[in-house]
Amino acid sequence: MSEQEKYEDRERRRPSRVLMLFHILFLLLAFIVVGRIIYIQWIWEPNPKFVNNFRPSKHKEVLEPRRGSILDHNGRLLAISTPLYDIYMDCYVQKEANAKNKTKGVENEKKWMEKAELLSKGLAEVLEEDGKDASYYMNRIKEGRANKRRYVRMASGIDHGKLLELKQLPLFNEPQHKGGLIVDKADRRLYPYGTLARRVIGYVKNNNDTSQIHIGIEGKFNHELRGEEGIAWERRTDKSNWIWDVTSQYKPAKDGLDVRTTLDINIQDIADKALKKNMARSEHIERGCAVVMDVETGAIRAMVNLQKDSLGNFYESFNLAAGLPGEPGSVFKAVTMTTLLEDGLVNLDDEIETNHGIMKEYTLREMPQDTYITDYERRTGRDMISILYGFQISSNYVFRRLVKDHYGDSPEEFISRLHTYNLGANFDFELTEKGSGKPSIPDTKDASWRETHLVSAAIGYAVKVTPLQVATFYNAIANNGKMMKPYIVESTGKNGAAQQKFKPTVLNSICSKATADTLTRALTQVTLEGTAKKLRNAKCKVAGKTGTARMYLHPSERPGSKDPYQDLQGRKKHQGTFVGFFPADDPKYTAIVVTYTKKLAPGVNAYGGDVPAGTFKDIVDELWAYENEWSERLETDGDIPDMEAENIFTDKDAKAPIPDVKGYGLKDAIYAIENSGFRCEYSGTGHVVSQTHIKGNGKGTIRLTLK
Amino acid sequence: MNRSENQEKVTFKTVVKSLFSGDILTLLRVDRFLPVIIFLFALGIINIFLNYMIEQTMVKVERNKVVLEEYKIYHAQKTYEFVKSGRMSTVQQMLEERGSKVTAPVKPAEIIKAD
Repeated sequence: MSEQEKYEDRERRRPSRVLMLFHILFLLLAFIVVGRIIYIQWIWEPNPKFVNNFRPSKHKEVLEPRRGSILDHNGRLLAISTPLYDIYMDCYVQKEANAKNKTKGVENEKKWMEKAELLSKGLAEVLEEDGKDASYYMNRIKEGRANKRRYVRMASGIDHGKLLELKQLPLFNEPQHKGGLIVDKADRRLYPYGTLARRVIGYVKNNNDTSQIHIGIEGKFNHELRGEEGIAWERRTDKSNWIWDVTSQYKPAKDGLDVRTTLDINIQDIADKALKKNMARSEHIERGCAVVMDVETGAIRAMVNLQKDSLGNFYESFNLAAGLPGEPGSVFKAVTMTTLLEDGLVNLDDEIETNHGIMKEYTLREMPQDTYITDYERRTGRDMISILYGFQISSNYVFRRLVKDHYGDSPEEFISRLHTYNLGANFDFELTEKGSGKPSIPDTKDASWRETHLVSAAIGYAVKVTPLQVATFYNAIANNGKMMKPYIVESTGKNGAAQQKFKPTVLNSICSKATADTLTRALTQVTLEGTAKKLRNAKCKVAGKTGTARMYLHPSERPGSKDPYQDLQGRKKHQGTFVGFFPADDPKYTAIVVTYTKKLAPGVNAYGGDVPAGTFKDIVDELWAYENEWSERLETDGDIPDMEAENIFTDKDAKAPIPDVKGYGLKDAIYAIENSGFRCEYSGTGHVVSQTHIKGNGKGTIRLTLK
Repeated sequence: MNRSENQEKVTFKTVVKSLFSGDILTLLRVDRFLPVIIFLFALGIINIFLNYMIEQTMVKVERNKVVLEEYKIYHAQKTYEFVKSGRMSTVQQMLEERGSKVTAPVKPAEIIKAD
């Protein structure tokens, strides 16, 4: 290559000066950018005021735990938490925008109001609230719109189903900034069985309630039920959605545990219905309680605590069964009898002198004459009475006499026996609530001890015990002397799996099997021939005892009166009790029914053999039919009528002729007949052997004969 | 002539010169790592894409959570309603009101013994 060519080549390769200038310029810019990046990254500190606007939005979300449910013994729901909704409306929404819009503002406002009209109609139809028609809601919206109100309540406490319906309505189906729908969600506690066992189930204000007021299972097991809050951080995406920020702290919410109780809600329903029915019959009774207990385990199957207001409405307000100790009266004679039998001091067939029912050691004011004994003397002409008969007619004299004769010199022996029956102190029972009284037994070493205390205790005075304690004692007799601790919660857990189980606990053995059997014989006699004759015709044999006692009046209830049992007008309150177990031969349940009267005029009484025994009978009768335990067993090769599948009638057969139900059980027969549009009458028990059609109203009546 | 012979020697002077002339990358033989660079670039793209997909999935998860929660609420409320109407005395009352002859059992159900 010649010098000339080399020169031309060099000249061709050399960049133009303008290009070089640009090159240097961009190079400088690159240095500046790199330098700036280094400066911003490591040296520069931004103004904190603007930092937040440049960082992605984040917020902390508190994760609420689900409060555990309360279940009955069979897993049926007694309490459940679920959100309910309060509906508010921003009535002023779009109003300003419409006012500013010169071209379409008036038209848009008119359209909005037309939708509001439709919304009002929809609200009236969906909510179905008394006295609130479409015009009511429309007026609220108009008023709110005129007064620039942005938070007008339209409905409260509606469920999810209704919320979904509301969201379909005009305006409410639009975004909040157009339609104005505002939904406030709050967890509420729902009790499917309403007032049934409400005091036992209890309550808390809300799931975060950690107050010390412990009412019922809700309060006592609040810690287990409420669960633990969680924390999650959420960040906003570019499209303004909120998602979980996985790089931040996360603690999941821990849902509360379910509490499974020993209650059987059907037995609770039976006891509740029986007590209400019988209390409604008596104008004197203002409060009452009933407890049904499983003999073998001490598990409480029902606990009813009712209060009656002046209008005759019932409600549960205080756990009377576990929290109201009082002098139990004659039901305590079983305690005295157990002590005498267990110490080998008497037999049921022993006889003692009647002595006209008078305790000679005391004045008649201290120990009034027993009129049951004078009646007995007059009726039989005898001056001796057997202990069994004294128990049967609930003679105070017989038991005072026996205790005086056998423990008069050593009352501490008798009193100490009462402590071994766990009657002196409350059990560690789950539902002992604030304001509960303390059971008490007189102390022979105490300065307040009087000689009369011994003979009073023998017939259920001078001692204070709760109905639950009395039931527990009788349960021990039914359980061959083994005293079980009553309990009402059997487990806590989640999704049906128990995490903590509470097993039956034996407190102690209060007597031998022989003593328990003897007591059962005596208690059975009371229901067959004694003071509880109402139970004679019960569906199964009952062993039990009545008790009627005057109640101690608070000084405010007897102003000016020194007698703790009556006011100056001689008015008294009475506590009536029936306690027993059934079936007497093979006890499955122990139950107690206690009623408390208001102040009654002199001469008016409310006996344990009346409302309490009547209630007890209703409980026994219904429970007997409810339990399969006492079902009749049929042999498979027995005479069972053949039934063909095609003979089973359903509602599709409503237009069918008269169904042939011969051979059916009553329940199936009635089902088939009523579904075919006929009415039904029947007589007899067993299976249908014949049927007759009687013309009458509608398609007429089918009369069935069962055999 | 082989490639190494053809290559300019890397000195401070040649680096500065190539920096200004715009062929520093060629001088440093970065073109040898081009597949790696493309691979890293592709990884970066995939990373951004996956992050975006994850974000979309999480948005969907959050929406599903809301739906699921609504179903749970619906289930709880329906359960409540069913339990409420299943109360024994309520059923008895309803049967009575409708004039049905079906009542609560008056004796325990008969059980057929199975061999």
